[in-house]
Amino acid sequence: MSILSIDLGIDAARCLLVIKPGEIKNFEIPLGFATIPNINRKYLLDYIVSEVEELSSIKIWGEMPILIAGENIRALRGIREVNVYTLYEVLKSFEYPVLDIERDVLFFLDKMFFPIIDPNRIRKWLTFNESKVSLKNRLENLKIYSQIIPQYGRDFSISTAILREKILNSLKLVSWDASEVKKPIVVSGSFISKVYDPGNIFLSIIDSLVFSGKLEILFDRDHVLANAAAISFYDNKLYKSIYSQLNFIALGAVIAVSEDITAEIDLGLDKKQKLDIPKNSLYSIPVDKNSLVKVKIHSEKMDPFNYEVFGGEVGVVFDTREKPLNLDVPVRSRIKLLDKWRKSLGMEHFA
Amino acid sequence: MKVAVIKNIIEREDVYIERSLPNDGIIFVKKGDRVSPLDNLGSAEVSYASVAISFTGSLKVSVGDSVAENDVLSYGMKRLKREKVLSPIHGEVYRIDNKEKKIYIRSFPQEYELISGFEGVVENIAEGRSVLLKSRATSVPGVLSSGFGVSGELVVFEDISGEDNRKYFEGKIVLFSRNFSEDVYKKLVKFGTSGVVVGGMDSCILEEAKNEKFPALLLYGYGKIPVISKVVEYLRSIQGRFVILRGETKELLIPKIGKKGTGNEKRDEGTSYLEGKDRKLHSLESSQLIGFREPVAGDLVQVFIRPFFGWEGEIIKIYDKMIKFESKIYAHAVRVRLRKNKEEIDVALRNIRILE
Repeated sequence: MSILSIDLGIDAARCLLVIKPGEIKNFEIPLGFATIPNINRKYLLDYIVSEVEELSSIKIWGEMPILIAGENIRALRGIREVNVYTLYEVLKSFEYPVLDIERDVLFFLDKMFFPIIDPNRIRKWLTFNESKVSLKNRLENLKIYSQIIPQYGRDFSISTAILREKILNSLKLVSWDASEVKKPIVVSGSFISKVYDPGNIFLSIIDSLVFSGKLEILFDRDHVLANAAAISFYDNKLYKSIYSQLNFIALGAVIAVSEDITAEIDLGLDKKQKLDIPKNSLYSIPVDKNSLVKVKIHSEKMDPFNYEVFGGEVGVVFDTREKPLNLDVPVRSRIKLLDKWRKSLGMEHFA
Repeated sequence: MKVAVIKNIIEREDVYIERSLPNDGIIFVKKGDRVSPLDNLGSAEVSYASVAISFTGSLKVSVGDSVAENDVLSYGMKRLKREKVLSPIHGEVYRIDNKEKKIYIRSFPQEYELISGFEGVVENIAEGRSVLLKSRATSVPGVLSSGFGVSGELVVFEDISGEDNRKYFEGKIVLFSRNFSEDVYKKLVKFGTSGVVVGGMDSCILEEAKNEKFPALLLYGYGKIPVISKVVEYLRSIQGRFVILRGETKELLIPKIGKKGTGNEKRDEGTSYLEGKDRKLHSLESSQLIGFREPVAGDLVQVFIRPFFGWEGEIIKIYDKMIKFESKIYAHAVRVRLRKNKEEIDVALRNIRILE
């Protein structure tokens, strides 16, 4: 069965075309009209579908169901024969728990948030000096020109700082239990897709999610989460037939315990490894996505605890930092800490 | 990969403009009347000045009295000397507050004529107060404003550091084409400028403008962003004309003068990418977006990357494959020669828009 699923964002329309269960294609149709007044949205859908038809050489109108979800669907309800869903309703019922970060809204597990970003807090994540005025201008411009992508290192650092603050601001009053998250979390969204490097994404997430226990993280590299969730919502059987073709990348797992710990690691080799990891550290071991690692955590202040996790592109990370991270320290100390954490995951930083 | 094509100067055939009297008065026109820019739509009696003067001793005037400038309003004693309080203006005493010891005088009312400023048709009337016109105008759209509007004569400046004569600014709407700073803002306000149009300004200056109810229109965003040359050239060509800075719709409106079209002229339908008459991507006359197309060498573009945010340039090369940027992001890109300093930079397609 063929179907077209459109994730209609402010900056672009991301389209997932299922030609048949073994064959799917992705297209991104840039829009970038957030600032342009009086856009005739009635014809917007025509444009998007026609682009997909041209790029795929497949006739779509009248030939297959069209599903639309996204941040930007307001004007599209009631138009033609399309199925329109809110992002919230499709993500909430998706098979994996999600962390989806869009321009104005953040979805985590089954909740929706509207984060407000404080420029002063953004500065705390930067290892270079950016004036308050300049930073405020940048943040405000990003609201207008949400389609732009960070080209230079500093822009990239600011994007990752915004990502962290969106998560922190949204979830600061929310208590959630990592032990109840039984499946890997899929991280996605327009902000995530601009943070290209897996190490950076992983670090951004674990810097800002406050929890203890284990968490496995998948990365929606092709930004198809909303498409997949809409298909799953509409026809779960079809979704299951295409799932293996979706590019959810296993980033790895994090085990978070904010104490001095000793980790007993069983990689399935002759001997188990023992690692002493002091409090307020990050330590990673390379483990691929198909390898199951058994870990026993010992600490003076709690009973031993067993975890079983799969690895990924980043591996398995032990995070003994106290959360939320305290960055209200003198600038030099803060930069030193940020550098140390990045290097422990093999990342460079932009100064 | 296609890129948005934008118009920065838009011809609009259906613009609704309200022209209002400052006080209740008389409206001369009626619904359906055709008007031209110099027509008088209505009039009212307006006092342009009002003062409150503290007095001592005994009053020499009462409410309803007419006074001339320097007429004695009261006599009192101060340090054993006789003190006179004089009227600073010609006018009428309209209130005396004996408790606060203040005299309120307003200037004699003068006739205020409500000049149309636009050619068009009277769409509606608020009796004694305002006229709604349907007209044609050229619009220069922006992205942000302080929320307030004003109408008046347009003047264009690149630099005002050497300007000290307020007569060039007072009561006028200023297009400031270069980097707009706090100092420039303060100077314009001090000189009695009615409103300002800029490429961009710092967010803190816009906040100040909002608090002070000062009409400001930002064409491209926040920061020191120059106005693109085509817009500067156009506005320079109409300098001295009556314009409206509309805060709520974030645009500058310039009345069109001359024969209204017959309706048979070719209108800009925008670029059509679809087949079938009912699947055209229309460019509304009021829409800034014309459509989307593949960029070509020679295209004039606006770039949205720091430190060249909002700068214009020309595409000199289109990369066949995605390139890797310093941020480690891979993207389709072009090489742009910036107009301002001739520097050549690589820019991701997501970070440009083509200027029509």
